[in-house]
Amino acid sequence: MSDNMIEKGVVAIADAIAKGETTSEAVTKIALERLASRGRRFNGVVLLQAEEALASAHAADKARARGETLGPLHGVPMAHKDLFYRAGRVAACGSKIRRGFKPDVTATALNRLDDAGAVDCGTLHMAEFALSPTGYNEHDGHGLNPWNPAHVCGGSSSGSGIAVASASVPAALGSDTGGSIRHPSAMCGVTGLKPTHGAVSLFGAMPLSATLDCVGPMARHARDVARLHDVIAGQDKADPTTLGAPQGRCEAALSGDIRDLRIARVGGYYADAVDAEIGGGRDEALRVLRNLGATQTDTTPPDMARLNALMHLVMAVEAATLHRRWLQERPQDYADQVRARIEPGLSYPATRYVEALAMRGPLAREWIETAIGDADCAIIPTLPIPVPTIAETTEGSPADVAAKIGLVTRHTRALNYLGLPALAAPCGFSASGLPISMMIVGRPWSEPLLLRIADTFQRATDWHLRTPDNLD
Amino acid sequence: MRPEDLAHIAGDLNAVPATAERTARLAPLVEETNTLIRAAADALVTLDSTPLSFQALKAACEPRA
Repeated sequence: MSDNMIEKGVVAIADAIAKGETTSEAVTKIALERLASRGRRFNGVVLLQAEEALASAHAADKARARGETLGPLHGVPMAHKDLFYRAGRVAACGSKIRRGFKPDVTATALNRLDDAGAVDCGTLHMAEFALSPTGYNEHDGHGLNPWNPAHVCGGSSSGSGIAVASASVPAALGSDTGGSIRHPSAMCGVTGLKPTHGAVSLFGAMPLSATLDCVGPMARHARDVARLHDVIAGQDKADPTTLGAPQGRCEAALSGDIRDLRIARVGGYYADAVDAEIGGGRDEALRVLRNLGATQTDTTPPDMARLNALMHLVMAVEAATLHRRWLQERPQDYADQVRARIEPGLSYPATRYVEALAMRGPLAREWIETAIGDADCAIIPTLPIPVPTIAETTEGSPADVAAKIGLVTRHTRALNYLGLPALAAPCGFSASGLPISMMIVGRPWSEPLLLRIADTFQRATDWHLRTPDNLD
Repeated sequence: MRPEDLAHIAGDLNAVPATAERTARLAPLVEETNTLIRAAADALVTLDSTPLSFQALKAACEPRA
């Protein structure tokens, strides 16, 4: 009964535990075994907490046996990116500088998962201080793509992508400042949600850039992403950016019906660099959505060079402010690639930073009016190119490497400046056997709508159900 | 911006070792970004603009399923 429970996902596991068809202990044992074998093989695991996880699972089974009310994630094993603090547990954030750091607080997102009954199995690989879109980490080694370990797995939530794609856990939390949930979701073939900025509390998640950072779930199934988002979203007194954030609306919105929706295919910048194979995947996904009853319109986005520059400035200034004292005291402990992304932030005038924030609202409105227009959402390839190899993103001339990495983030990074929700979902495979992903982008607070579209798409397709060969 | 000014800001004012030596690497990106955003701000940022403009946009958006 439990052998393929991880693949079936969060909702199926929670239901099976609630009905007594399996136990949390049985599923957690499978997760721990797979994290230790598959997860470590693809360098996706930082810390396994087998003893603590099995004790939580045992307690979850006892609670069910006593007839207690069960939370929506009761007994479901998970593991999360190594930047979420749990009091007393090391959170190194993929860095040498924070190796051994034990926070004395627990992230609100983890507390909410705990309260919903989830079992925490440990922490997962990430790019150093969340500053690589490919999974590059000079200290811990590169994360490897379970579909083909010669290819990048995506970052910075690299271990979360690896762990879900290898069916080691049914879901994991990631964080996204310029695409760090969407890159590994796209490259590993899983579903990942970057929520509206402020929808999910950032308290207890090591910041990179507080006005751009988002915490969100990654899972195989859109329905599972919806359930996790419902659990972690909403106001938190410890994070004032969540003021006004709605909670608990996503899973109830999964009607399987998108006949009332209009979807925008965005051209211009979002088509100019798209590889033919990737464009074919996007068009096939749009055909499926049209067959399901959605109507389609074509739109063109505004000047994206300006938006990309604004995102870069805000991220660099906020990251440089955060890292300045470490850059003074321990500059040698940063990878050069990471330092190079932070240091420009030391040079921008404060007036430019405030101007960037002042333009954020008007430019987000302009993007919505042009790229979404009268539609409900926009569809964009998450990556414009096929998943690159590790060699393509680490070897060769610095200009070639920078160009390749720039393509990886081309469609994702400005959306963090705009603060809009974006969902990456698998929609095909390339000839070389690597996943192709579409990104569904909406207006602020439209997470239920984005998840309704992805869930309806997944009811009609099986891309999200596929797993890599030779995992064991 | 003159490279020596940029080196002064990046290195001396922030007291980050070796950053000033990397000025040549930083300068084109910083210069281009500054120019682009200054021009955008000249066109878009009015006297009563607020750095909380994004929060205002979110407050104006109704949640929809």
